[in-house]
Amino acid sequence: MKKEKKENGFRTEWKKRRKTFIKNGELSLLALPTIIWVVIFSYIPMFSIILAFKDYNSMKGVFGSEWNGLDNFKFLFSSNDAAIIIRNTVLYNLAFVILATAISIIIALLLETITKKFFIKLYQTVLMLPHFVSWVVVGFVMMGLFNYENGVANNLISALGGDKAMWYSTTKPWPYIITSSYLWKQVGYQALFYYGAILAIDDSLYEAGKIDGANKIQEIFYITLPMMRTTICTLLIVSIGSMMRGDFGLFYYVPNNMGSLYQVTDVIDTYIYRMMRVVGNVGVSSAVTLFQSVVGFILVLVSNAVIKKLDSDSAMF
Amino acid sequence: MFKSVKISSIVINMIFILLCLVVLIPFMIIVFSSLESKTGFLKHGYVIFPKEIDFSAYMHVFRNPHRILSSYGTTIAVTAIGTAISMVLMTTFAYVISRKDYPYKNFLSFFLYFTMLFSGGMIGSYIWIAKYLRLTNTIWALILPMLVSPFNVFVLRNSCKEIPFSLIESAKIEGASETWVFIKIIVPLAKTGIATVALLQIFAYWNSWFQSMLYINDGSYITLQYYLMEMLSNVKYELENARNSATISVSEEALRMALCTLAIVPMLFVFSFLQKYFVKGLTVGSVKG
Repeated sequence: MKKEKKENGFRTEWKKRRKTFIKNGELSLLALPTIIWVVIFSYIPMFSIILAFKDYNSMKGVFGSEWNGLDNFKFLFSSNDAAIIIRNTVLYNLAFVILATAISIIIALLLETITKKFFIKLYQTVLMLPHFVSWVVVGFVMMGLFNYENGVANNLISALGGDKAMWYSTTKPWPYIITSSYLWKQVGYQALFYYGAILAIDDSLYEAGKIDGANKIQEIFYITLPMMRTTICTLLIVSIGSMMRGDFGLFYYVPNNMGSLYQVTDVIDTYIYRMMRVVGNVGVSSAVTLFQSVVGFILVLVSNAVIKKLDSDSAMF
Repeated sequence: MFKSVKISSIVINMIFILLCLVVLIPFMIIVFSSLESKTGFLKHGYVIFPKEIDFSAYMHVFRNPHRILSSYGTTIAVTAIGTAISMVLMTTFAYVISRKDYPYKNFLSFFLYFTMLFSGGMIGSYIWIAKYLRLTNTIWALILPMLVSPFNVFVLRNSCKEIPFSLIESAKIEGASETWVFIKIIVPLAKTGIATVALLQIFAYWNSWFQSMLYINDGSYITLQYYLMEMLSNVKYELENARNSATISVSEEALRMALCTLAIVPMLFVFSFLQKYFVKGLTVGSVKG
């Protein structure tokens, strides 16, 4: 008797599910092409992480290649490369996050004080332009700037009476060059998001602030910035999550893939590419990828948890 | 009081003008260096400000326009086909997960969001696309891998969420199908968001070089970016081409910058005209991923 009831309950439950599935069939069908794309181009390639534990042989394929345990990781971490690429990736990303966030918030705040619409649009357009050219194009700019014989930088130096510098064999200036290139490309675009967040703030807050006698600086610190915190946190979580990812184009084309500069310009992604296409060591390349993905994943979860604790509205999930 | 406001506004405008100049310098290097003659280049090298205006590099490009025209053609084809398919995929999916009465919306959102957190990296995509799907040296290798961008889907979802649900409900009461609702109600009302993402996608395709780098190795589909990449890595490349066509009164460096200019100018125009959609489209509820 009891069993029958349970079975019935199960059956009605199943019927209900089937009913909702059929009822939403058309919507699901609309989403289906994208679902298929995501499975094919995002989920299936994830299986390649097993290559981190294999000695990949392209003839035998992903599943046919021999397992080799932790050999790839041993190779990776016993070389000097791992320390260099992890250090470079993390330090550059830290510099990028801190500087880009600070500068773009300042730009957004300044932009908000401008009253003429024409100028707001003009400045925004110009500052956003760099975001819409590729790193390959930036590579051409770098060539124009740092070419030994004809570059703008060396022309300027010799016009001032100095000796031409060998830009591509001295590592010292490159951290600054790379950071500036990143800021050049990213700041105007990011400022757009912060500007949008500032515009979304309710005007009555500022009126209330004025009644209380707040000056412009106090307005920024007690009204504007606190109201922007969700935007700031969202963008921060995204940046922290990609702390382990280096923008391949930036680190490949800005230093023009010069081996002499790897010490300060090689990051995880350029290393993965080189291991895969130049050296042909797919196993080590996959080991780095797995390390990168797992650490990135943990960073997102941790930073989200921290933000949730501090301010539950600003967390992403 | 009034005076101090005015002074600070002048200072702020000055800051922005200075900032804009700094931002424009790299563009100026490309454009003005391309306007140098052979003798001019030997004298000035690469320049920030124009020392002379000479179109011989451009003349040279258009005297033998086969390569540049075919790479424009490939880039335009990839951009047009890619953006069209990509918009259909992304808007339909975004609309479905924006529907608050759709029971699987959370599952599907996470299904997509997870791909932002975890991926097989370039190794995974490369082996899968090149070795298993065998798309190497086809135009699909340039189009398919970039069709769906999770970030853009979430921007579109936020635009769809802005549309009052009562509109959808009343249309359905009158017996409209989901597809009809999507085409006749959602697409027109979410057009700012759709235009923004379409523009982002156009730029993504126009500027994409990574797919070419990985999947094109026999020169079958040469996009503008691929052409530029080739010239950047192979210094003497264009000069050899030039030797073949006998007359070399052009500086190789100016020629390269001229090609670079030709690759970026169309997009910069498109961008300047459509920029106004951006601010609206991207900031509408884009706060919460």
